[in-house]
Amino acid sequence: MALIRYFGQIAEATGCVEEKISVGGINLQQLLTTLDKRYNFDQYLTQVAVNHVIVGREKDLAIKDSDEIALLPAYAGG
Amino acid sequence: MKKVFIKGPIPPQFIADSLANLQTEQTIGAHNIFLGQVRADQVNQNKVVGIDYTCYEEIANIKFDTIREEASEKYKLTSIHIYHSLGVVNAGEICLFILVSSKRRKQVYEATEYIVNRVKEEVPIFGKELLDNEAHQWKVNR
Repeated sequence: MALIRYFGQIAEATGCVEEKISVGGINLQQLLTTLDKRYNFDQYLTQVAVNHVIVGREKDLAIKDSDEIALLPAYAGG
Repeated sequence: MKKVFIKGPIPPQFIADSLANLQTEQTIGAHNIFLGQVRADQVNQNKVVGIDYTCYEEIANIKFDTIREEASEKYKLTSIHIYHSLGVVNAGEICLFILVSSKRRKQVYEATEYIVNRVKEEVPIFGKELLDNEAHQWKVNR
């Protein structure tokens, strides 16, 4: 089960800050599409991180059950 | 990895203490300070009364370390202190404190701007602006 973490406005849309999802054989784009259908957060999504590294949201990346995927909205530090 | 996040607003005394701690570093000839303060923006009929900050701490700490290392190398700084609030900071209170120190003044002016810009652009910190009618909106850096 991969750990999916949600932040800021995206966590508000999902109603939780994290959840575990079985991801056998899917890639990052498929995962994002599946989650967006469920929670409708795409308009807020600006960055995606896999295992603490920011990756392009379009990246063709296979997701493993040991991965941590974070969905990040616009930054607002300072 | 240096501690960056502080729960709630950054107290003025903390800023004074940080300066006092540098008085033993007598190769320093210039300090420059940036303080970010929560602004009571008007949002239609309402006003921002505070910002509730959250972050993705694992990546934020990595980013702060990178920014610190690269700024230090680029501007030949003696020290860099960066502190950011988490949780609620009310309008008028300090949420970001950057203290840059070097032998001479020119570097500290440029380095401060460089560090503030990179913090705003690269560190995954999120801000929920709390309004005086108990509604909220999400802050976006521009």
